[in-house]
Amino acid sequence: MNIAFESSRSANGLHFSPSPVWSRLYASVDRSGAAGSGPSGFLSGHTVLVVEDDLFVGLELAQILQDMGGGVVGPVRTIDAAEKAVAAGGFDIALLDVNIGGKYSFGIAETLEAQKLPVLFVTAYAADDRLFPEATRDIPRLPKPVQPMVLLHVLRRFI
Amino acid sequence: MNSAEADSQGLSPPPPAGAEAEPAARSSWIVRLVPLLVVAFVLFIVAAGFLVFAIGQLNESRLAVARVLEARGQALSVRLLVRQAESHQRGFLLTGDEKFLLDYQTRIVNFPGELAKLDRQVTRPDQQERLNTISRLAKEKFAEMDQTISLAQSGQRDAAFALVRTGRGENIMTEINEQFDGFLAVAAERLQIRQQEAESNLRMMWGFAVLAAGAMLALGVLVGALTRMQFVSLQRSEAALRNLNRELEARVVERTFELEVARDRAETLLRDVNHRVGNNLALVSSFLGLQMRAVADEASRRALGSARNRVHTIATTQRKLRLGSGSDTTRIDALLKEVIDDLVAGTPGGDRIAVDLESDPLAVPADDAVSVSVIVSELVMNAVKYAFPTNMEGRVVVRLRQAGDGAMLTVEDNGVGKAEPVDTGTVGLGSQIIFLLCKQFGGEPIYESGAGDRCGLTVIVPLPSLKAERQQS
Repeated sequence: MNIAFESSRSANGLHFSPSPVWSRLYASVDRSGAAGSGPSGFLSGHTVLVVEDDLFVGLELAQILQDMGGGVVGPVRTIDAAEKAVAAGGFDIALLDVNIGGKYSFGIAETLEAQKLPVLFVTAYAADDRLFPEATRDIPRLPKPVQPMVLLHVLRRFI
Repeated sequence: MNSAEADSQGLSPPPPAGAEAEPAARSSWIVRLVPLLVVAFVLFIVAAGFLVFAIGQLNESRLAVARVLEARGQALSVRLLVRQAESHQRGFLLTGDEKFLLDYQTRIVNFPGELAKLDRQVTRPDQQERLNTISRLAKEKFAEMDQTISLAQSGQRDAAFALVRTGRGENIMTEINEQFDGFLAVAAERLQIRQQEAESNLRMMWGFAVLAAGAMLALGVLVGALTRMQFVSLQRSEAALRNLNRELEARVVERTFELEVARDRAETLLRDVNHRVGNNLALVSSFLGLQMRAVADEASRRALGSARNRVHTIATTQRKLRLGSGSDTTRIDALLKEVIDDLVAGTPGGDRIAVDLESDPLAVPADDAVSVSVIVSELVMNAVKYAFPTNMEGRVVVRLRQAGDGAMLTVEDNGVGKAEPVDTGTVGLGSQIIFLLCKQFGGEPIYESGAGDRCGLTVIVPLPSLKAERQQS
């Protein structure tokens, strides 16, 4: 499946919007009472950086967040792009996958923590303590696949 | 690596270089030295033996010399007796003094005894012959002297002198002297012989002593050489052993390191596999989620949502059942707790419901654990979604008890449950799933409404053929 992304720069930073083929997906964003989503508007006023190399998982995460009323920067699919996005800013929460195309996102997590931004890991490595460097051990880890309700509960802590 | 391959084939490491040369060289030395040792020893014994013999000979020589000297002395004494007898006879003849006569008679009386004594000291036949001759001659002499003396005693001094003047007595004396000279010459000769004997004996003793000392020295040197060889070979063996030890230790360290590396690699691999599975399940869940947003009708969306929840249950179970955790069974109580927690967290309205888990600590085969998780998640999901109208606080109790060889699962709620499950799309499938899974374990689910004034639905799920082993809690 070939998905073309249009990138645009706005006041909020870099946004990736899927091509018109997928716009129908995004049409569901504003619908309230969508199954599995929490109270919409819960995240309004917040923008979340999503770093995830898997296309569909990232897309769904973005949609869940938008269902909750939040803005999304991403999904960003490489470490390099993630570093650029971090430098560009424009978000106040970050959701990071741990393994991005073979490289680990711990450096990015530490940078964000240094900037005092709330960071969450979404990862299949959730139980592997030894993998995580000292500085990143306290960052909340959500196991994949992520359930929207679970994500909501965790995000509540940071709002 | 070669050492690993060699070890696995049961081969032993090669001996250190030069070790094989050692025993051959050593045994050739031993072969050469030991006979020398034996020879030296024998030589020493022989030399010592001869030395002892020589000492014996010397002693004998000494005794013989003593005997000869004794005989010589005695012979001189005997000759003196005769001479003194003669001189006293002359004295008496010339002076007539009685004193001379007394002395003469004393000598005559002692003579036989002394001669006999001398005779006893002599063993050579020629000497004995001489003594016999001396005895005979002495008798004649004494007879002659007696005659002169008795003439003199009877006043016939002239006749006595005339007898003397015949010279017969003198002739006999001369003969006696000759005999004695001969005797003494032989004795002297014997002494000389013994002297020479002793000298040659001494030389022999020196020779044997030197030989013995030489043999002793040779023995000492040989024994020393052999001992040193043994010592050196012992040292070499010890050194070789130490080397082998060190090699072995090094190999053990190497092997331990290799094993650690292999183990780390295996762990990394397992982690990657688990990660991949988790990611794949996440992908499936995402697809379902995206699909949910793509469909228009509520019923389809609910169906997809249920499907997605089932995927999440399986994902939770898979996380607990880490591949390569080393056993084929898992603790069902720990697993169900996580499944229920995730379920409650993920289902809207879940935070209003208290779900209690009472589970025996059972170890259950991994595959069956998935099925049990799915049953529990279906039942709890139903209870959470349908048993309690909005804003009602409720309680669900999940019990898993060992029953016979298998187990008994009960899910009880105090909500507005009905005896028969409501047959809407997703719930219908759920009941089917429950029914089929339960049958897989040899039982059939039983739905009971609350008895009497107790509300709620109790679902009893017998699992008679579920292999469950009780564990320490």
